[in-house]
Amino acid sequence: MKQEKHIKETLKNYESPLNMDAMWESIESDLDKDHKRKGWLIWPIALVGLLILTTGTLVFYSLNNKSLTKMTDPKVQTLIKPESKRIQKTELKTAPVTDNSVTSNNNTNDKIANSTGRKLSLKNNKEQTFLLEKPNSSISSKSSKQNKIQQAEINKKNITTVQKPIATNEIHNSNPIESPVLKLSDLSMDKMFAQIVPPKQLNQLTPSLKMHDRKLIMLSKKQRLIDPSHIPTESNWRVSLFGGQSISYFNEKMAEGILTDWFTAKQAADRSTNNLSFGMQLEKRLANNLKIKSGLQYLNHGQIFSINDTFSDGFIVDTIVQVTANRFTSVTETKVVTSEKISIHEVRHYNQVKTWQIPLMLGIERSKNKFDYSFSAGIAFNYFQAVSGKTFDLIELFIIEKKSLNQDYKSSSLALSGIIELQLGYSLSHKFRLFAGLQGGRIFGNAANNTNSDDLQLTLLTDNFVSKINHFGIQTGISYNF
Amino acid sequence: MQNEIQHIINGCLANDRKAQRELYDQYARWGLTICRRYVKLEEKAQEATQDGFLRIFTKINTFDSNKGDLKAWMARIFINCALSVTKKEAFNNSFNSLSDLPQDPVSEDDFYKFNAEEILKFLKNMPVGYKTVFNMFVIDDFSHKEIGKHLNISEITSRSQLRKAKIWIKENICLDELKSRLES
Repeated sequence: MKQEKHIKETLKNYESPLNMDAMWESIESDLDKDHKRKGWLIWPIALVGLLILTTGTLVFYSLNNKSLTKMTDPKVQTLIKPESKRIQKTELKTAPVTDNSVTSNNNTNDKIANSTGRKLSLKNNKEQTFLLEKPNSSISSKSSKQNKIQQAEINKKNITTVQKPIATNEIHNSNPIESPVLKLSDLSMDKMFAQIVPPKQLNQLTPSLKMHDRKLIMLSKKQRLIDPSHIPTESNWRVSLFGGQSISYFNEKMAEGILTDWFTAKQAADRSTNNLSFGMQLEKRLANNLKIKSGLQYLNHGQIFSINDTFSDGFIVDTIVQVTANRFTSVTETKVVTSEKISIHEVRHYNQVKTWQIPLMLGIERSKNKFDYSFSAGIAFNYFQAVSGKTFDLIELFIIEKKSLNQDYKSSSLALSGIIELQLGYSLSHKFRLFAGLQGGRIFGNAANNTNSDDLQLTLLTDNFVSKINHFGIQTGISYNF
Repeated sequence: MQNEIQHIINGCLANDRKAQRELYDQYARWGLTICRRYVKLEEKAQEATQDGFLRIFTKINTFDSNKGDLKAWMARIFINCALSVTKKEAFNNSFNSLSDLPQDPVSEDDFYKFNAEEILKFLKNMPVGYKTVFNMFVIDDFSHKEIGKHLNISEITSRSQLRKAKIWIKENICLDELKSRLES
């Protein structure tokens, strides 16, 4: 007691001799470095922000511009064809029966043209224009029979004045001579749409057609979706077999940690593994190119290529020195640095973790000619089994003592995960299709049924053991449509 | 005095070099003593002091004068920095399997005549685990609970380490009678 008091009183406010200037210089230089470092941080952040902003702007404008190009694109005009038919049907249903309202032409365009007695043509030259022909008053006033005759004459002469009509025009161009040619650039989307579809008829159209601009694009996309020529097969079911390679990142935390007879420590382990995955999936196509899919897939989390164990609030402890592994039983040798209280070195990890997944996904698939691409997302039920362990030397820092230990554990658990998938397919025929894709997911799991056998006599507090596994991989496979 | 400290703090908050230097001039030697109590090697103790000042200057915005005075706050920072160095030091030593060499016992009389430098030298040979707990509990007024939290050990371990530290001190201070007997 006396000695302690003496020590305390002597040391409490003692000022040690120090070369003040030398230390200050190094502190000052460190402070400057710190400021510089902070300055450097701003640039990457600003750069990333700028990149996001630029990409966003570009995407936004490209989407908006697509609306214009698609309207003028002859390909898109063809896509609008079915909708023109729909317009015609609507007209037929709702327009009052007049002489010129019934047509029987094969050419849909002519049908529309005849229904109003005016023709709207789209020239296929570089500068796309809407050419409104002079109204043929005789045609417009004649009966449907006369229309037929007139049309037959036109067909005979092989004159196809109307190549890509869009719709009829009744009101806005009562005197088309005044504006026979309308340049696309002169028209806003609203005006153009009004030119194409008169307001009266607009009310009779489908809700999506009443819209303009972007909505019209949506419509054309829809049309593409329902266009059967782009679907390589009409089969509703598809079975796929696939295999692939993926990377998993495990993040395991033990909140209360490992309890031993000689120390208590929280442990967090980060592991990255290289996986082999294969499986099968069954999918059913639904309306609007939606699809649901399910199946069974197996992931073998093979060779560990990085591992970090963190004990308590300590330092990160592992650095890989050597990895020797085969696919199904991996062994890694690591050299460990230190932790707050203990240090571990010369660790040999061995690991065999398997995951079985039953995904349940909803996706959308689009196809163009023989190619298709799809995006699916959903959940997966996971069952994993781990047989792993490590041998290591431990040093307790405060009471310097070395211990060589073995630790083995087996665990199995059930967990739910989120899963997303991007796939690109190529149809070899109506039946077979090759595909490649990316799949990612996150598994949230709690380890259960742990069994340990080790020299530490570890007691794993399983309730506090949280494991998160992120995995991302590439898959290729073959599908069969039926 | 209080105003002067506040002025320095304000200067440090504004990243003013003069204020930082002023703070350094006032507390550097005292800070070094704290670090020397925990860290065995002199240059490592200076390293810890330097780290401590860097932390103080960069984290001064977290200092709340309502919770305690600046000196106590700085002391905690120096202790933390010293502990970080201690752990690394202990780890490095562990690889070399270096154990603390026994020192010649000093007489009780001599011990009470020791100045600060001599006490620091005397404590240098104490095993790092004992010394850390002893310093924290006896000189820096940490409770066993706080020590446990800082070192990630249980309170029981902290108590036992302190007990061992006290035994070590006693073992290294010979009673005068014993010493004279040994000398004769």
